[in-house]
Amino acid sequence: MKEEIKITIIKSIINNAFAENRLFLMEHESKDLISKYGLPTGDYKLVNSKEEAVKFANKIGYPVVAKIMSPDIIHKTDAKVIKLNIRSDKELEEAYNEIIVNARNYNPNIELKGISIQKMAEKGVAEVIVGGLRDKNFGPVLMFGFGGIFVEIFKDVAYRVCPITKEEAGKMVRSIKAFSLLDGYRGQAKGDINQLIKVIINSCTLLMENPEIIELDLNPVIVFEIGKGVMVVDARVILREEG
Amino acid sequence: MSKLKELDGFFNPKTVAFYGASNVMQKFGSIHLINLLSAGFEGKVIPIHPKEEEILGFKAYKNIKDVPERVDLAVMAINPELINNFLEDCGKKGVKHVIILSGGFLEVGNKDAQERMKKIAENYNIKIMGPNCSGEVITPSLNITHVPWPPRKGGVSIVSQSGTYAVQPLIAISSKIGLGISKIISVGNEVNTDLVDYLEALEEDDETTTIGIYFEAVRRGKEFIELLDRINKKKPIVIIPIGQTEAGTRSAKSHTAAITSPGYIIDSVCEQTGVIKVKNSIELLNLLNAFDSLSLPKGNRVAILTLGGGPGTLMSDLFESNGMKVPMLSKELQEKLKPWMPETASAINPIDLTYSDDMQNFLNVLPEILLKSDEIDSLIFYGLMGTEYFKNLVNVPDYMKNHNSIITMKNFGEMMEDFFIALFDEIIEFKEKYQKPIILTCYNTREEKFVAYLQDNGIPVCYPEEGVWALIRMWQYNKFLYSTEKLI
Repeated sequence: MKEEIKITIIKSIINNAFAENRLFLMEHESKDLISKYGLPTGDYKLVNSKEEAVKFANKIGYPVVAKIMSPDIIHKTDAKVIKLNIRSDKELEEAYNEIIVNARNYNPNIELKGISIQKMAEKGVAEVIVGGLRDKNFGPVLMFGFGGIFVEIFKDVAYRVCPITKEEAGKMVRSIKAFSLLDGYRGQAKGDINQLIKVIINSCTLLMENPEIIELDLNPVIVFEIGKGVMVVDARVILREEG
Repeated sequence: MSKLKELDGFFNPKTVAFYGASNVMQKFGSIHLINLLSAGFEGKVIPIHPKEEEILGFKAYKNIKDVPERVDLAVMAINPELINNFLEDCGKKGVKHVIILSGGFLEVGNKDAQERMKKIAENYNIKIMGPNCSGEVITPSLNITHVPWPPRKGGVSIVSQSGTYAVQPLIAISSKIGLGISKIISVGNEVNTDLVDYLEALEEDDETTTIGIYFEAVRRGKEFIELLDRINKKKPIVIIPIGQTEAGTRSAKSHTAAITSPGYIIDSVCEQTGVIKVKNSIELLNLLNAFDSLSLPKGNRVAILTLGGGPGTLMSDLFESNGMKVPMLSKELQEKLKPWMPETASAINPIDLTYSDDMQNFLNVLPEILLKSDEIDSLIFYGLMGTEYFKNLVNVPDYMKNHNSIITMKNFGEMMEDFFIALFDEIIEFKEKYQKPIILTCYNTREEKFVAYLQDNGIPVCYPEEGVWALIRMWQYNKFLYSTEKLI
């Protein structure tokens, strides 16, 4: 994609949120944005009818995931508006209805942008988190760690101030205690670390080129075995008004 | 213009004007002036005072504009409300460097006064250190701080974003460890010269071999990181970050108006640049002292030569749990050592003499055998006996005082003084000859003149734990240098 087109698309995503008085991007917007930086998101589509949903699911193949896209719901699991591992047209149609009902129960005045259909990610070698924030002294900073208890309880995470070289990103990945889980622990497959490093470096570029973004949360990022890449399953972007 | 030249008025002033010094000695400004004179400043001192004709014997002027000669540096320790007008006078006089010690600006919310200061400085092209700072020490003879202190001249320079830390612990700890200082700079509110400027100057400064930073916050984060990255490959940098917790952040904001970053971000900056982070002033100054005095260890193998088992064991544990090795010495090397050791002693490493009164073996013969071998990269001692030891040993009851052996013993330390000095001179020579770091640890202080002698000649003398950590950090630093060479 041409650089100017890329910039135009990114700015329009961000400006659209501002126009709606939002300081965050919804998941599909976040993914539209990060995919412009070469971050692999897997196939997904925002649909507005069951027919459209089924058509797209057949195109990418089951199993799929269906999630509500609404500026009024940030934690989808709590609102029961996310359905995993949907295996057939029938299941998808049921899930579609259920999600809409649950969303309206959660908030009768909810604004619905549609439902995102995406491929159910296969189990990888590991699920990791790549995060970004903006420090008052040093500017964009990236965070890397394993998901769940690793980050919450063990605080097993690494930070680096941007820009980050490929070597530094490699050191960052290897510096966490759980690294051995990515590196063929007890005979398991090794993760695609090179592709993970690319995600880190590209996230860094994304933060440096878009001063409106103050927080980035790619969680989880599934790391597949060597040669099979990585996939950003969920993405959140937080904005600030002045650039 | 190079940064060092640009800031030269702070580092090499020939004429210093003083605002705030008077004939009332306990005034802050007077104390500063006295300290400058006590440090042996050889340039000219010109007090500026509204009433006095003469201050401390120096002719005083009512206005700096009346001073006939050029003024390189003005120092202000006065009521903050007067400062901007005097700064304007300095500008008209052509003074290019001003140290403003007084607080009362951005740190207390007085943004307008600080903005005005910045404007005036810009109009007249004045460089300001401060305001709200503790001044500077430039060895050998420039001391513009409130603490009297003639430090030993050396290669350690320190930039501090805390005024107190720029002087008080430095003086207390440096006097204990005999630290060799080149420059100490307290940046205060950084109105138009900041941490980054001074680091750039220290990078160019040939007299600075290693740099310490008391770090709170940096407005130019990107330049700061680039600079750390570049300088640290030539001159090791050691940093103490302060203000990383909620209370710490609050405190920093109220004392220099700084917005600090969380600790994990400073950690990552250190990780990326190889800069060493330490947690307290004692660690900071011991490490800077070691960097300034010693060559870097080329590997992680240490020999411990000790008069006593406990310290040898403690040091071994600390080394081995932090990436260093206290290797068992080869049979051949042990055989070379044994003839010079008591029969009960162990030559394996730690080389533990338990007790030996043969200082020549302990301080010269055994160390040289160890340093010569290619089995070790650094040497650390524990134990020292000197004149004070022998003097204290004979604090006997009065009825024993005239006993012959007591008198002999009493004189022993002093009689042996030349002999001891010769032994220490050998150690000092070994350091150069073998290019391996040597640290002597003990619990004696500089009151023991041998401690002072060694320290002043570039052999660090400190507590065992401190010495071990200095070596560990030095090895980490050299390992970092090796890793960057590999990347190139």
